[in-house]
Amino acid sequence: MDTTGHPPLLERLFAESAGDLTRYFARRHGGDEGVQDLVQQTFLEMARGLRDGKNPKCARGYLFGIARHLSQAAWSRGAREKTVPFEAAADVPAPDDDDRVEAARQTIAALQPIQREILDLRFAQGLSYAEIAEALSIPIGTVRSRLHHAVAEVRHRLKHEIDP
Amino acid sequence: MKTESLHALIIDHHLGELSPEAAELLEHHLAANAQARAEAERILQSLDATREAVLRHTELAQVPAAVLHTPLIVKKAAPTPWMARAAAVALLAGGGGFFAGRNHAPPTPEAMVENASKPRQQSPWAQYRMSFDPAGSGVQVVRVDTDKLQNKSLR
Repeated sequence: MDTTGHPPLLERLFAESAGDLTRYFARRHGGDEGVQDLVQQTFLEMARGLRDGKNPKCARGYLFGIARHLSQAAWSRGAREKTVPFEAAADVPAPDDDDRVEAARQTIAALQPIQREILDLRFAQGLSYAEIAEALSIPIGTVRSRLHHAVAEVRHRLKHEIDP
Repeated sequence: MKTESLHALIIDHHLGELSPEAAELLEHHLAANAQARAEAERILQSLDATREAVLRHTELAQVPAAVLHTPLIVKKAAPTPWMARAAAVALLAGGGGFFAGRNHAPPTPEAMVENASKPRQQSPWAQYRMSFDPAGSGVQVVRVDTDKLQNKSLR
């Protein structure tokens, strides 16, 4: 990896975010070998971007933006080759034992994909609103409102079905 | 405070996305209002259920590839191909007419004076003139028959 000119930033990012990126790809693709390749590719793309003069406002968000593109590309390749990337996902997800979590799961599954991505980046990866906005290339206000809406939907479901 | 505002503030506060000043105001509001406190508790339970569902069910993170190509803001559709072709034909016709007009030699001043002085004879088109109606009904449009010099009112 050519990190000339930006080694401190890349080293810091690698130390801070390699584990998070591994978890991010593992949640989306499930496997191990392919996941490590995607993590390496993400940092390589980051190094290239910095070398070419990219100056992201939020480095961690930018890193997850690259990871998202690579993940989507892996999904597209899998769709073209009629294979599911890395590991086959279950067709019908198993219901949760906890009624409240199951209600939340069903509600989230019915949300727009972009909202599910926001929830994943926030709760599973621990990204801030600003980092999510950078990763998804959307305004921070949109991140905030979509997240609020998702929780409101869960709240509505729980209120009417679990805690009437 | 409206329920929607309270909902948003509590989520932002719990996720560490609220400014210290706003957080302090919210805490004061909750301390003074039992109903708001109860609502805040329910919102936090919803937030916890959401977080648990996301963490336990990784299939929720698997997003189809098409999402990346679906912008949040839908741009106006591009013109259809037939519209583009029609615009190209119109431009070509207009440009051709312009250049044809430029290549045509303009009439000389003598020719213009000669043509203007000639009365129009045996024109295939009828001619009209405006005249005042003395009966008081306003203006009349009168057809002028140049051959027989007969006027016909078209009022």
